[in-house]
Amino acid sequence: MNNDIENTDSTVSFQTEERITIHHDFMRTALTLAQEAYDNKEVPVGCVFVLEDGDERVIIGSGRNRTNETENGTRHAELEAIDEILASQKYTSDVFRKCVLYVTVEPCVMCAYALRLLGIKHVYYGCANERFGGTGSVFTIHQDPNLSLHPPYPCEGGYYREESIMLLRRFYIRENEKGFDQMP
Amino acid sequence: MADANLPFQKVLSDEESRSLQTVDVYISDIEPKETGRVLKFMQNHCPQSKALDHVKRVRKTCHDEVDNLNLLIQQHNLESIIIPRIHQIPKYPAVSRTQFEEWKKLWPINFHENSRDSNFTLDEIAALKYYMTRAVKLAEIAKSRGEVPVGCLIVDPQSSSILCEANDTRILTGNPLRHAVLNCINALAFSKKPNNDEKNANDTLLPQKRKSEMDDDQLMQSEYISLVSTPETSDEIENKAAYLCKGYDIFITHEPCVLWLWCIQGLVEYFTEGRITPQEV
Repeated sequence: MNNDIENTDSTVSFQTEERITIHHDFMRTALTLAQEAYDNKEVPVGCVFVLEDGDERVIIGSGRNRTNETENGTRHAELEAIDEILASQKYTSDVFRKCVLYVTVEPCVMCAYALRLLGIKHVYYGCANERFGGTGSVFTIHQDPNLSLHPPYPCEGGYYREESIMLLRRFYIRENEKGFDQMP
Repeated sequence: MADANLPFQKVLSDEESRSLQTVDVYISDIEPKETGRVLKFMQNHCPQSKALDHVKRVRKTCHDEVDNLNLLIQQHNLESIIIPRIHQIPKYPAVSRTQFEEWKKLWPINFHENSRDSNFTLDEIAALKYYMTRAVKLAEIAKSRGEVPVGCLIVDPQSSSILCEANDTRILTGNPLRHAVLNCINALAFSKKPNNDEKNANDTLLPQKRKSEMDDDQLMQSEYISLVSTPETSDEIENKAAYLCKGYDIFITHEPCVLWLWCIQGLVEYFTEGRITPQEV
């Protein structure tokens, strides 16, 4: 586990202290990254990629939204993490076939397809994305049989859903108060 | 205003240009209550050809409507003038001139030629051709390096300037997401950031050269992945527009995949007013 991430001073408030599954543990890490995005005036979405090898699970990369900082609307948490993993030169793109993604908000259409292209093993998310969700809410990129080039992948949501939503709400309230009208 | 003599003709798809064609089949009137029995007989003894899957097996002939109509006619004492009978007319409005010429034989129909299709000026066509040729060149460079041959450029149609260009680098970088379109968007975003010249030069995400347009020879020789000419926008609103890529045109040698279509389509904020000019190579 990445200790830097673990020790990040977080103000995410968990409605329940109960750690129900291993997935909740990883989702907590993703939430601290979402919080970091919030603290840096970014849309609060965070994610971790976990390499599964037998019973062993290791976080090999993490990311959070950087669309404002980079002035680039494609720099979503997932793409940040993917680029970090590949830029490290420790892994080739085949590694994602053994990886599970934990992300606080349902992947958008772009990220949903990127994950399919990489052959991701499984995706767990916090809250649904009813505007641009690519894994069920608006499109079903993860299972669409028309996309025959890359295999479908399973995806399930609801892990710390309330906490993920609360971060987003706090973000939009803050942005609206500042008079910004922008949804990166 | 569109120029009168354009150097090309719109090529219609088969579906658009296909005229009404028919094949002969046997039909028979039956009582509605016998439908099930008759269909069973048909299934067992006269299975329908796959080529006619779009044809329904049963047509309901509604005599009630005709009866009602006759009744109405009688009520208005028009039976000596109006004698209703059934006639077939085109079901849909004609969308192409060929369809119109064919279908009007059945019954007179209206037709409004779509004027949007030929709204280009010759100058615009020359510009589009120039940009597209450049995109193809970028794709060829990619190919010569053993890369996936896709090229892409983003253009500001207001100033007729190329904002950034990129080709595919997914093989060379080992990152399957390094599609030409993403490289191009990244290059554009990078060009907007101040003080980015020196740092972060390691990542292929970032352009390695900052020059405005090179000529073709330079283009072929250069090592760059994406090159950028920085648009001169100091105004904050303009910068925001640039971040959103609003009003820009993008030229790609291939139809964008789902991955980047999301960015381009204007589903969210990208290219909301720009035109997309995909071309199959």
